Amino acid sequence: MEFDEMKKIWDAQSNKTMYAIDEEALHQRVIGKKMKAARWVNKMEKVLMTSLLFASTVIWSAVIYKSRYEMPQLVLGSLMLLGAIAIFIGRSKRLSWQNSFENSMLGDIDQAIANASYQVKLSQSGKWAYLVIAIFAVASVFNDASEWWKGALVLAFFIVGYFAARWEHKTFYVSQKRGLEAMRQKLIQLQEEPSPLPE
Amino acid sequence: MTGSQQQDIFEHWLEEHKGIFFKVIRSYSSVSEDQEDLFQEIAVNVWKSVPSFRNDCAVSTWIYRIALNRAIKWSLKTKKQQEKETDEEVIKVLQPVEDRPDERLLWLYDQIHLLDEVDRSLCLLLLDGFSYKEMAAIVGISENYVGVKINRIKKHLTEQSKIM
Repeated sequence: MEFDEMKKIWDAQSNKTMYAIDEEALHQRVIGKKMKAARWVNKMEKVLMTSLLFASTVIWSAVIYKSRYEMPQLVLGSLMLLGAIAIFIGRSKRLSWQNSFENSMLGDIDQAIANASYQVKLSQSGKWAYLVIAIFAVASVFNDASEWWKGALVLAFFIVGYFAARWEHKTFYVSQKRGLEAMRQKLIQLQEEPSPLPE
Repeated sequence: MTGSQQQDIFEHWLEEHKGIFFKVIRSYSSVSEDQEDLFQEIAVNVWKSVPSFRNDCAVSTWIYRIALNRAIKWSLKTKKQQEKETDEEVIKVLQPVEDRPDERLLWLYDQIHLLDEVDRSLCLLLLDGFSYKEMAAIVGISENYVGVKINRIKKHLTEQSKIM
């Protein structure tokens, strides 16, 4: 076959419908994304609450056991406990509005976006809380001047942790939210124009 | 430009040039679930590009430029991600409508898909009647190099058609 003939075959396709959107399959994909967003945020809340509660318990136990009531440790232990409580309250509120979305494809994608936005906010607040906790943690280690290297190690650990958290925030949470918003826009467009591919 | 103006222009472009979307998508992905993802990615980027369009080239050239750029990036990214598939269920969103598509056209798409990323772009533009100058501007290589590559592509496709 010569190239000119290929060109004719190519040009002929513009007048034919080759693909159509399967609405049901599309809805299944949206539901899949909704479930995934809910799973992620659920897991994140549980991991954060558990780790904050655990760390707070360890700090308070150490303070009480050693009877060394120093300000940095007390503030750090209290902050972690407050953080876990705040996440628990946020989670309860989030679960209360889970059923408020309409039962449609757009409602499902709206729910997925709401969960993804909540996760982005949680991750954003987590970064700030992390900074505060880091300051008090480093301060409590630096209290003992003879062991300055321990403080330096803890500081290095928090710096690396902060950049890792920033990367995680952008790579997973923000990009997931953007992807869902793009999908919502596409769904609206598909509803206005059911067959966007060549006819 | 307001959001609704941007949306209107985008919808008009999509209606006028939907063939470009389909051809690029079909050439860069052969699996229907991938085609849906790529379509979404290209559509979003074309929509975002609306305010930057300054009428210094044809709309079709502009759309081709964005679509090919996104498709090449998407193709490279997908290659890396293919081995670590997500836990999402694979669902076919795009369904073929024709019972009997033109076998020669399917063969042609398969052959385009087998070319490397840049040659794929050039082949699409060539089949859609773009000049060497326009192709050079869209793909970002010299006009002479476009000529060399096009000759190779034509020769390759003709040879492949003989063993079809």
